Amino acid sequence: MTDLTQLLKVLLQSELPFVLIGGYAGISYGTSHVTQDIDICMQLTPATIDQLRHILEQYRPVIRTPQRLSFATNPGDTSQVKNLYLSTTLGPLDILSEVIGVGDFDTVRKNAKKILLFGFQCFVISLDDLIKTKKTLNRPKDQLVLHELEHIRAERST
Amino acid sequence: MTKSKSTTIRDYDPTLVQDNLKKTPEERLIAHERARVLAEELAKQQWIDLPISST
Repeated sequence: MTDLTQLLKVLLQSELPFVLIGGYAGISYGTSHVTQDIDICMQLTPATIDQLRHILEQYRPVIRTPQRLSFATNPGDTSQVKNLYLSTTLGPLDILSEVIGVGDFDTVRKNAKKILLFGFQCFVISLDDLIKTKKTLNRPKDQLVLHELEHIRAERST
Repeated sequence: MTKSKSTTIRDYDPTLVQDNLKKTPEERLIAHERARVLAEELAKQQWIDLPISST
């Protein structure tokens, strides 16, 4: 059975540098829409991908393509990887090296907010950056969440 | 009773957000996980389409 909170705990325990982004970040701020995956932003290098393989090993990660290739051995060449879309036994995990409308990991991390989650410090994309990316993406599901995020920002500024 | 699918993409409801804002970030994620698992179960039974509200 999938368990996204457990997946997040596994990532937090690993001490891998990442920023929580996407729908799950929105939920941490107070949005009410259900998301079915966890999205994170991190630097994707051969070294960090090896770390990810080790951390996720017991959760049988596969690349989310029809072939469902094992992440343990795919992709073989990790020198040019920009994004990873994985399925694990704990749930789907999307790993992006940059956030559309905001920038690369360093930019996202610089603006990120640090919050305490499950006993760990977790970097979460800033509310302003989350709004920025939702506005840029502008898909129907982004528009729905955008209303809530803007409401939350207004509440926080009062 | 006949099972039927319902539309669950809903309009923005500020009261849901207000309820969420009373919780800590961790509480919000835990509540979301409960809602997500429930939604997953209901979707399997074809009662609803995802996504639904987490509150």
